[in-house]
Amino acid sequence: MSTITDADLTMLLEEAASSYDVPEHGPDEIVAAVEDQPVPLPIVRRRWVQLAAAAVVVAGAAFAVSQQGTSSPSTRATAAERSLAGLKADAPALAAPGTAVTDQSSKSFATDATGTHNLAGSGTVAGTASGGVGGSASGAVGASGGGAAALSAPVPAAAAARAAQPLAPTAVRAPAAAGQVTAPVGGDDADSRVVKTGSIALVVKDGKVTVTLTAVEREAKQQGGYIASGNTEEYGATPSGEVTIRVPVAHFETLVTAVRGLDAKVRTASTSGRDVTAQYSDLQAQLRTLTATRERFYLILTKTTTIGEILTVQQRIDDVSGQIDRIQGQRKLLADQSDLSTLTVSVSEAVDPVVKATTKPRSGISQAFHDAWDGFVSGVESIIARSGRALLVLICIGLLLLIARGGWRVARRRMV
Amino acid sequence: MAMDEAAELDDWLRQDYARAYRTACLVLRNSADAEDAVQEAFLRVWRFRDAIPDGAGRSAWLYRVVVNACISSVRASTSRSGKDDGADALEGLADMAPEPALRAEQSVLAATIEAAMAELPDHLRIPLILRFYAGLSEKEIATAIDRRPGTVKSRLYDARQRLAQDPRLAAWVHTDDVLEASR
Repeated sequence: MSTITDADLTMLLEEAASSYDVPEHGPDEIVAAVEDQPVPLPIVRRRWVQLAAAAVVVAGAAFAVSQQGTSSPSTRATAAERSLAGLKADAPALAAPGTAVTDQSSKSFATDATGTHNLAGSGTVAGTASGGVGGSASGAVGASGGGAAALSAPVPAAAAARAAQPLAPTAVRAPAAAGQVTAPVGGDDADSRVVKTGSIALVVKDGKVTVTLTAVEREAKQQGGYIASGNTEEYGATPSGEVTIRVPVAHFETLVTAVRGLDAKVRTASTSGRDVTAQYSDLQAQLRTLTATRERFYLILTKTTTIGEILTVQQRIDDVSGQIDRIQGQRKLLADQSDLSTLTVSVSEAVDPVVKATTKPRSGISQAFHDAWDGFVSGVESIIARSGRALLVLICIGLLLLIARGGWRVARRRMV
Repeated sequence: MAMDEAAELDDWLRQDYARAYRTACLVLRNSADAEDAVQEAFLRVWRFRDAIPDGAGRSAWLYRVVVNACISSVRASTSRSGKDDGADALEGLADMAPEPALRAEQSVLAATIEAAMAELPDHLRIPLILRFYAGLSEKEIATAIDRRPGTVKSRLYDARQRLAQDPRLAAWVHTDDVLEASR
């Protein structure tokens, strides 16, 4: 059974870890954050001091509750406002502009600092206000806010440093993930891969189907595309045609705009985009891994000495090669779909509007006469239609009679 | 901050930052989140350095806080993305694929290991990283993940067995085994 030694594991993990570059600014940011931290209160371990502190807290809470029972609603509201004012005063310190704060309570403060000053939406603050315990409650929240500030202080520093870095690829890919194909993705960003498809149905005047299709083909060529398939029905009651165009993804929107600008009415139009960047990167990574694995097996193959060894290693190589071929196929398909977008344009002539019936509905007797007349006419038509066959039969019978008669006369003369 | 404290902090960072950062990267597979987690871990340990029990190394506690910070990071991100359904936050670690830019820069071997490691459950993966990358002893790992040393030993064994059976790693570490198996 195969085993991995400690040395193997250490080597593998060292290799994996070495792919992560250690940020040079990391230790400096920690030192800066430590210097910004408030000096922690010393932990007093003496039992009597802790008990005294607990007694003060309990007494303060009891006093606050008693005050709540005797104070008027307006007084309670004032106490809540005081507590909110204290929190608002802390808000800018916790959420300075341009910093990202991950703590949930800090987020609510940030909203307050930059928004409508309505703290009722924050769970923490709403609880404080409705509790109506005035100064003691405000102090408690203030303490927790301070703790949050101390713990989350390093986060804004790192986040701000990252925020200063260019975020263009992410910002570009985000709308594509949301299906907004009009965003500048795909060909505009070498790292992004977006599969774009669309269809447009045009309605043209009589006799303009071919002309319009020719114009569509011309626009496609101008945008660097080509006609992947097409079919037309140029005669008959409803001439129509459809072409499927492959065009570089960067020119997709331009082509859509150009087609919509032709001398035709757009009956329906739809476009869609699918971001396949991550999928493509995955395939590339798998391909690199498998290729390296195969190279490794080739190296092992050179060390083989018996037929059995060769066959075993060759089998491994064949397996890996099969996987490589499969992934290469997937990657090629994905690359093709994301390099060239697909637009289907169908063109048809406008159909005459249906003529509405203008005759009034007939009464019963009138309808009966009408039906009788229709029956008479259809009977005459039927007789006329079948008369040809009857005439043929009559002619045949006449000919037979003539032949019979001639034969009879000849026979009678001989008998006489 | 006093001069001696500043020097102590500087020494500590020079000694442990890089390895702690890369440990967090291996756990989270996301460099940005790892940077935040390690920063928070250093601050916490530094702040409460006097409260670390006697006999326990600062590094073990640092990695304990690093692992907790990583879990908190995953929990926060899953909560932000609305995927937190109350399940163990560790389950989310396996779902965090490394960013494409990083994957492109990774060596082939590193990518292979990452892929193999990604299939390990986190309760096996984290002890493995702490043992064979961070260099912690089994006792220190037990402190770091808050489990008994026997549990750590068992998990390390399971993790090693699973990696040994991974075909992707066979070409890198089982060269002799491949040949031996064919005989």
